[in-house]
Amino acid sequence: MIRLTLDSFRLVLLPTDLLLFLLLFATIGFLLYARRREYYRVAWRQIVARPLAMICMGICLLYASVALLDSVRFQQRATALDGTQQTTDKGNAVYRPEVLTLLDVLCSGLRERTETTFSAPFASHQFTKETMERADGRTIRGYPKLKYGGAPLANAEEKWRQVGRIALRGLMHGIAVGGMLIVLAIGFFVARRRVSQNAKPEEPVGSGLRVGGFLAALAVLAGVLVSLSAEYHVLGTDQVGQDVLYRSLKGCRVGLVVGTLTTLIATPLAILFGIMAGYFGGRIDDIIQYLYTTLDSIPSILLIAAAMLIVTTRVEVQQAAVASDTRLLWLCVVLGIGSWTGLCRLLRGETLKVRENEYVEAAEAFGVSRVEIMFRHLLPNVMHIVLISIILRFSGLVLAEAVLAYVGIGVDPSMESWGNMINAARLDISRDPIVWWNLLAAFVFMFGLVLPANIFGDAVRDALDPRLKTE
Amino acid sequence: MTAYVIRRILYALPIVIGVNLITFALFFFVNTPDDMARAHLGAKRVTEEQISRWKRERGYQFPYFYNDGWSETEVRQVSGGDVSLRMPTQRAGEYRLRIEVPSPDKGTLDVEIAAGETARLLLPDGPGRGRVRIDLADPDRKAILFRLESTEGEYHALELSFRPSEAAPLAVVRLYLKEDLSFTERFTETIFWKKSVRLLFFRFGTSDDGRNIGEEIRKRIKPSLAVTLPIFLIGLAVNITVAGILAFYRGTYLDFWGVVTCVVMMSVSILFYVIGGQWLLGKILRLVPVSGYDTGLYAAKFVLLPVVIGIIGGIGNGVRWYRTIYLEEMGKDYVRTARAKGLPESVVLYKHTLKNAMIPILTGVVVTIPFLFIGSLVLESFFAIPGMGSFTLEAIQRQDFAIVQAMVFLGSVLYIAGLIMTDISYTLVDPRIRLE
Repeated sequence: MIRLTLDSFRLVLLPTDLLLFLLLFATIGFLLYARRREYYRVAWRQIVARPLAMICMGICLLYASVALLDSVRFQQRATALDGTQQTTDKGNAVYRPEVLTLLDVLCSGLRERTETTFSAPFASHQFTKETMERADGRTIRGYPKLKYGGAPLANAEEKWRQVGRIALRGLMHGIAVGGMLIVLAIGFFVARRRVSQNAKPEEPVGSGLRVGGFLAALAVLAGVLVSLSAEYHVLGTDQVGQDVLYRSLKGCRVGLVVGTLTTLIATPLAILFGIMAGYFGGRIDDIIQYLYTTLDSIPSILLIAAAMLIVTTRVEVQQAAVASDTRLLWLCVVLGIGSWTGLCRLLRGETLKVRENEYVEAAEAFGVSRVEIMFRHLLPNVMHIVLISIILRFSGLVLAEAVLAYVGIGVDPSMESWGNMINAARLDISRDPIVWWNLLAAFVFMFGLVLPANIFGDAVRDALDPRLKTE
Repeated sequence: MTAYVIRRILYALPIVIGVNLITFALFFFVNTPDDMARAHLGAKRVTEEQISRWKRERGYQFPYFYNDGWSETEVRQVSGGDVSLRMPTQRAGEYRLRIEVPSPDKGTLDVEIAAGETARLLLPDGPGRGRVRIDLADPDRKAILFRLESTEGEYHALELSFRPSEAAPLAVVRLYLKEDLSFTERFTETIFWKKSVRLLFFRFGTSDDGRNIGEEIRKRIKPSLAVTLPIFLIGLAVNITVAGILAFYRGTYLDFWGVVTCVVMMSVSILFYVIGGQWLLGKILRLVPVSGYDTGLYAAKFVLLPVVIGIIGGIGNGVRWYRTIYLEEMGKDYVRTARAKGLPESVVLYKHTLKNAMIPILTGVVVTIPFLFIGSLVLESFFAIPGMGSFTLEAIQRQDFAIVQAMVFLGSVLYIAGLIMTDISYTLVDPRIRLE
């Protein structure tokens, strides 16, 4: 864990946060590299031509930004009762023990407005009965009013009308912001058209309208959601009274970490070994093939189970946040071993084909070193396979996280993830009457990430590798 | 062909051995038997005596690869000032006494060794009451060697007393007895042989809670197959048929919406299907029991729901994949010829194309057949079916390393069997392929 101390707060960087930001920079770096390559530009134009794929990309980016916001964590300076900042005897600053993320701060309302136990979406009263004391001293059993949900409500019949009113207000705010966003987007595209030398065939106003329209739709949705969740628990509350919407948003991070870091960890190995096996051949090829066949032959769920069991027994007494983060990182590493072999096999096959090309022969004739041939001539020509495999594997990993959490070998049970939500909600649905919102929220949030990822992944594959085209 | 199969099996041997080594490394090096014992007994407040007993009960007390004959007979954890230990039932023979102190400590420790009336104690220094002084500051101090000779009877008492010079350190006392081992025993009386090599001969041994794993597996294969076999067969038929229909109507709205449905179904978690199915069919409609299992034909009603869910869960991926294979084949010349002959499209599709698509289909399908025996972890545990999947899952949750290790090994052997079966199956559908 890395700590960066600033004056009134200090940044805390857990290992997965660090890797996530590294990945962000690597992605940006790759995009800058790809911008200058005709091959990728053509592929990008193909993807842009498919509006559905672009919408899906937008949704994935939305999830990613929630996860990134949830990865910037800091501790605030502890303040004494009189408002001064606390220091130790030696004059060092004292920080609060709780580590907050930017997402926590943005959703501080959701985070702090906790009820005592279950309440249904948009409920104004608790879901379970309780013994209450009335004003005249008698005790009755009934559904107590929620502390925060529907607080300004006078009588229950008014509820849906009030919900409608709040939603309308949010809608108006959303439309106002959305309109501005559309104008900004059009302005951006027109300005870019002016600035850039090579004129693009597409029309700036049209693409501005499309991008702006997407952003405006998001703004409207956010407006309604924000204004409603200020007065109600839009997705209900869970057993300990936490807002389910907040928990679902927190779950984005684990989903994204598992989906991306796993491949980030596995990919360099797969690239190195795959290209080496394909290019060198002979003894090295045999060894690498033996290695991945052996690893491949262990059923992945059992390998994961075995490795995670070992992590469980070996995690020492650490700070809870660090321990659960270590476990998450381990999960990514172990999942990565499983996905390593498939990509390695594909890359070996492709390298075998690519190395027969004349430019490799020419490079060899010029005396270019083998390492340089591998990374300058072979790697760029098999890179599309790496990209396709990363993007197509993503959704499977997000789904796998939930199954692993259920099996008991997933992320730490204390961590906020959709898998843990589903796992915890298993008992809730057997209650009578049924508590369904917990479970459904986790499934919907997961579906909302996996479906766009699948569609976008297909589009990327079709654009990068016409031979694998399915549609 | 027999020669080919034998050669393939020989090729598979190094892989099986490799898997064996990997699991051994995972289960015993990365995570030592001591760690296992701690995990079982609870990490804090566990004494060395308990760990040693736990290991001995489950056969983890041996060395990893080579047994030099010194075997642990007593482990005691002592703390406090003057301590005396009584070890009542010791055999005659050569002994080694090791005293471990957490960190190199200051001071000295006086150790006094005495034998009961039935035996004579022989120390290197001389007969009678042995008194040895140990310097605790010396990090690589030697073990104390002595000999116990019988004067009458078989078991003898041994008394040890410790007198530390300063504040008493917490120490672990380990007593080793020298055993006569034959040359082969030196290699077989080890963890590697007893826990790993034996797996190669499919002798799974006993689980950490004392059950016979091999018997347990034989008992549980049937319920597992009752779920996985119908899922596999019906699922295959459904997927290939639906994919054929989509390929038949390629380019139309039916095809488009079919593919969209597939993508949507792929994106839904299997857990959703399970929970939703249990709720809808089991609770609301009360068509089938929510979970459980029964013997014989009564099992059918319990198996129905998991089978349906298993098939639905696999449709999205399966249909898309088979559709791709169909479309790939349909662009080929022989299809055009068949159409030009005037054959109806359905004959072209299910007779010509399907037959030629068999190679890619078999590549993906045959390798999964052996895994039917492993069962489905998720389905079995959700529906309380006493098969292999739930067995593995219970083992994972109870941290029973012996079972998990056996299953990892079994799974990889089955995978290799699947690869060999794939090759053989090619000869059945394509007469051009001959295995030599």
